[in-house]
Amino acid sequence: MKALRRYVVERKVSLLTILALLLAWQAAGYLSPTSALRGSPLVPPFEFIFGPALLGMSDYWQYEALAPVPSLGGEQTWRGAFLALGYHSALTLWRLVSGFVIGAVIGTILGLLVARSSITRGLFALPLHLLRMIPLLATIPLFQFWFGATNMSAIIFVAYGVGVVYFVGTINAVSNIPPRYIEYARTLGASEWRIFRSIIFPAILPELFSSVMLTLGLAWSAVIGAEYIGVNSGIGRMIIWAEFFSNTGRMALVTILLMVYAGLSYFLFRRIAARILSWMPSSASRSAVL
Amino acid sequence: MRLRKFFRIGLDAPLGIFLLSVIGLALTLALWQVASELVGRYMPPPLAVLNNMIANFSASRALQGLGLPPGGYLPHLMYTVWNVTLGVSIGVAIGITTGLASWRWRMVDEVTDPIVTIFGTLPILVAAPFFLIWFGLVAFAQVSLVAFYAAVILHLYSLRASRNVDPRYRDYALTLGANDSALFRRIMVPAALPELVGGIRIAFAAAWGLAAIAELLGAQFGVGRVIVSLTAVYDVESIVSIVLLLSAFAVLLDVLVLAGRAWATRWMPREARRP
Repeated sequence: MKALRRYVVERKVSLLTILALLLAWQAAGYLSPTSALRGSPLVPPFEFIFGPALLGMSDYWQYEALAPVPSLGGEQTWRGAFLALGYHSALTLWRLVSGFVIGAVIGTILGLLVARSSITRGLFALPLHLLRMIPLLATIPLFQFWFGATNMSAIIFVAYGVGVVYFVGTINAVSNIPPRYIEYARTLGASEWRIFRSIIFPAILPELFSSVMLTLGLAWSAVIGAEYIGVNSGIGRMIIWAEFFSNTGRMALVTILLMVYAGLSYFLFRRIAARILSWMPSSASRSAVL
Repeated sequence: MRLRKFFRIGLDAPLGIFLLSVIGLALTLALWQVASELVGRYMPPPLAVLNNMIANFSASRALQGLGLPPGGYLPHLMYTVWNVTLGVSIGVAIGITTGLASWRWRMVDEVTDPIVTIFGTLPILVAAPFFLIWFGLVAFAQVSLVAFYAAVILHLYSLRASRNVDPRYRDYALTLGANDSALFRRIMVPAALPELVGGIRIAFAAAWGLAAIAELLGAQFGVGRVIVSLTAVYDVESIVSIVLLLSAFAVLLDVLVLAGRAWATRWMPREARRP
């Protein structure tokens, strides 16, 4: 209780700002002209977002066994709304996490292989730089042509976007290791594997973590983008379904949900990174996690 | 003397780096060619893409056939490039101002911090449909989306950069009687510049995709609009062409930003220029 009060006192300006933002949104909701269409105010007020709009999410539920299906003439139910939101959230999260892990692992391994010699590093430098300059989100239609508008295609797209960053990041990190470290270990008779395990891997870890912070946002954008114009499911797709009928309340609801998910993913990752990097001097690890 | 340095033997010599880059590029193109043989129709070979770029650059019957205005890829590219540049410029100006102000006045920091935290974590893409509903299918939606994103990035970068400036510089200037205006103009902005440029590059890198996807969702003009029309008729060759042309502009602007940094930091010792 005391800690809470201190937090409020210390952060009162920030908290007031958030409150002012919420109130401004609410006021805009009442003041902005309402559209002739039911369910599509220009700026949806909060009681609308968490009332009719949330209930309306049950329109996107498809399996009759668990809740009535409105598209087959059933009525809108709260249970259906939460089931629909949960189902599509799970799909999106699955795409995000699996794409992220696949991309990070493959990107890092490729980066380590390329970074082994200065010849391969030189060979890959320019093509990788050019590859990285291709606007990721503009290539979504190409991935659809190559892999279809499927779940797998979305995962591959996320993995590609994330993987390129890790590929480049790993190469940079390895070439930034002072060569003395490796020479010293070699003089002491360390094997290649031992050098990798005891020197290269710990040394590039902070760089990898700062790539995680960068690519987490990228992966969110990639998965939402892929759902916007490709795969016909997932929480990003729900925004497009809602936008089709200018259902701003539903769009705002999904946006709030995404805000929570993204915030949670950053928070979780920060905790994990701080844990793993606790052996580093605090300034270095903090700048890596920032 | 300079020439001799260039032709010095070794992989870290300029000539060696140049040759390796050329070989790497050639290998990439060869790989692309092989891939196109294997995949077929949906992976057009590099030469076909190059021909497509040249043939449709400033006049294209194919695009006219899809109901797009005459003029080939160029006007669409210029439209998107202009939107991105304008959006990033506005965002950079706002972000640096609020970032430096947050560094100087605690009050500003407390007000902007929650806003930046919220919009820094939110994948800005989800705002795109809102911007399209509120502002319509005009360039304003894309420009404001990009500007918004760039402002958040630059706020974070300029705040961090100004906190990284050695406090002795500031104290010294204040001791000599500098006022706020001189402090920012003569000390903070120059000292934070290398890091700020890093932020500008990040903002640009993401802005291309943002602008393109905003156009994909709904626009009457621009690269994204062209991609939508081409997707409908399965013209992969033209999609690859225009995406690569957009990337070329992205590379060009990145080079310009780097040149600007080199010019603006020419007074710095060499090792201090890179953040």
